[in-house]
Amino acid sequence: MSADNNSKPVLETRNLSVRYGKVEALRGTSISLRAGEIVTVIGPNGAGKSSLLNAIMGALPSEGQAQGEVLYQGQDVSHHAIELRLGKGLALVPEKRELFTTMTVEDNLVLGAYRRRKAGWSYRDGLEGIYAVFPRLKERRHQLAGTMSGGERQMVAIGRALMSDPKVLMLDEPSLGLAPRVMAEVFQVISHLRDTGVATLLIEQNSRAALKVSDYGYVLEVGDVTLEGKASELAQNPRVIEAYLGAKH
Amino acid sequence: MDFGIFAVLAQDGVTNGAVYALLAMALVLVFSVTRIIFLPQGEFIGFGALTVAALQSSQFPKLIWLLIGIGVLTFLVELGSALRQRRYKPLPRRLLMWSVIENLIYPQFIWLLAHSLDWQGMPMAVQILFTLAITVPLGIMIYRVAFQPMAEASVLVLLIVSVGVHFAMLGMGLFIFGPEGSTTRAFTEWSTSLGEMPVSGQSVVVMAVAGSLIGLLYLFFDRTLYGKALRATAVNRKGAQLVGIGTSQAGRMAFGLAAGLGTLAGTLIAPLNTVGYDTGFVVALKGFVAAIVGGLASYPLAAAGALLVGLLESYSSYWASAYKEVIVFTLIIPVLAWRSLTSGHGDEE
Repeated sequence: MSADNNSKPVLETRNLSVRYGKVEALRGTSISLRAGEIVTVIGPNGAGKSSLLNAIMGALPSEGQAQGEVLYQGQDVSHHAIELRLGKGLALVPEKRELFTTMTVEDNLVLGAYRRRKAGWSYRDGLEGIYAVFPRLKERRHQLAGTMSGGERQMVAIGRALMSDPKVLMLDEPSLGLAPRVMAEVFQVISHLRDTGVATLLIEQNSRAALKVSDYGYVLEVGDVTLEGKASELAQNPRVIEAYLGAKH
Repeated sequence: MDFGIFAVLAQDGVTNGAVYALLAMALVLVFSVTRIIFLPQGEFIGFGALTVAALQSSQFPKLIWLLIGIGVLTFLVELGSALRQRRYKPLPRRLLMWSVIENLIYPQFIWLLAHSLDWQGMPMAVQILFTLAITVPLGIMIYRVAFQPMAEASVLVLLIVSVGVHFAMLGMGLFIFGPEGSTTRAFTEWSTSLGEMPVSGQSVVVMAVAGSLIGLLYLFFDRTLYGKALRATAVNRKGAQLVGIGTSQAGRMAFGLAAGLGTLAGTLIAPLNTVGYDTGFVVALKGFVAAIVGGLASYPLAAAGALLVGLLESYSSYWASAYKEVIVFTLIIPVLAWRSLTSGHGDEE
């Protein structure tokens, strides 16, 4: 909220809380991001990072309850169904990817555009766009998604989310379980997203790599934002270095 | 047993198996998309057959009264859920308008059609289409009223609701159609023989219709966006929600298709058997045995299971006719043992 960019945020949460029964996972969190910006939320396991993304998307499990405002382009969408939020321009790549494993890569991508129906737009155009970003998916488009490697699955998941033409893409631990080389590839794709004007909200265990590609960052600890600032400054912050970036590299 | 009898029994078994295959597909579809074991399937068999029979004997198809009644109920449920969410913007005005059209106006329109046309003189295919125009929306409304509000409940709870819906529909069936059964006109009087074996045109029609429906279903699931969306929901519910395939939309589609398949199965058996309001249940249970062979998940295995059930039933009615149902339903025990030994333990719930 204090970034020195004066354009209006495309996505903003105000006092967003999430609770599962009596357990509070997120307490009054306020974050914001602007078009074309990459914002990272770092923090330990169980800090409520995934709950934050799921609450923004409206995809909390049925026992989870969100309170507070989710503003998309200034409009409160916090009571909208997932389909409506998706139609407005929010998309989430969940931690577990949630691919349609027994269907082909291309079917997975096509279903990403399930809600995207506009005159004169065919999912073929969308597919070409995705294949331009991920050439490997084009080679494997007839392969079943379940038979792909971890990195390729992540690409299918990101590609599927991009098929809905989002303005805000949320990525939950995109590098989880990936080999370092593949991880680098995924981060490269994320930094390319900036050029397409998509705003990216990123959650990462690998804080170092995440801060490197990001413009702004938040530190989320036990349900509260304890620190925020420019990504480059956060990466220099002694507390962040000690807690999340490990010893000096 | 000579070859002639063997062949006739085989023909009989395959004919019945084709009908069971349709039912098994519908059960697999509904279960994989919604996790509901679709017990009311049997009622659609009976309701479908009796409605075609009513059209053919120039009676008013009273099932329309049920459609009008459940339509009003469905509208009230949707209005109620919209009012409860009124503090949420936006008010789903367009949704409510659709609800009025689908649940209040459409049944009246069907009522008007039933009154204003001479259905007795129509070709059977048109009568069946009109019956589908009653039963398919009925299936969708039943999903909306009974299952959609609790779509996230456990498989067991959904099964209990399913049992409740089954008995409610059975009761309404008795009220609407009375205890008497009916048969419908034969599809064709034509028959031929293949070598020693007489082939009835009826069997040929049943097999051809069931076969082409299975082919159409395959194309639907493989080629169309809606078919893919249903498969996607079956594979990964959360993933489907995240691309905007609503659980309830997929559920309605599945119920509409299943109601249609049940109705068609009913019209296929009605020319050969007297179908009453409660006949469908046992028939649908045989489809269920076939679906179990496919683990309630695999369409090809379910179809193969349906043929097995049909043949088993046919041969056991020759050797031990008093026990034929027992033999068919006992099949479920070795099948379950085989499935529990061969399949992994990854299945949740």
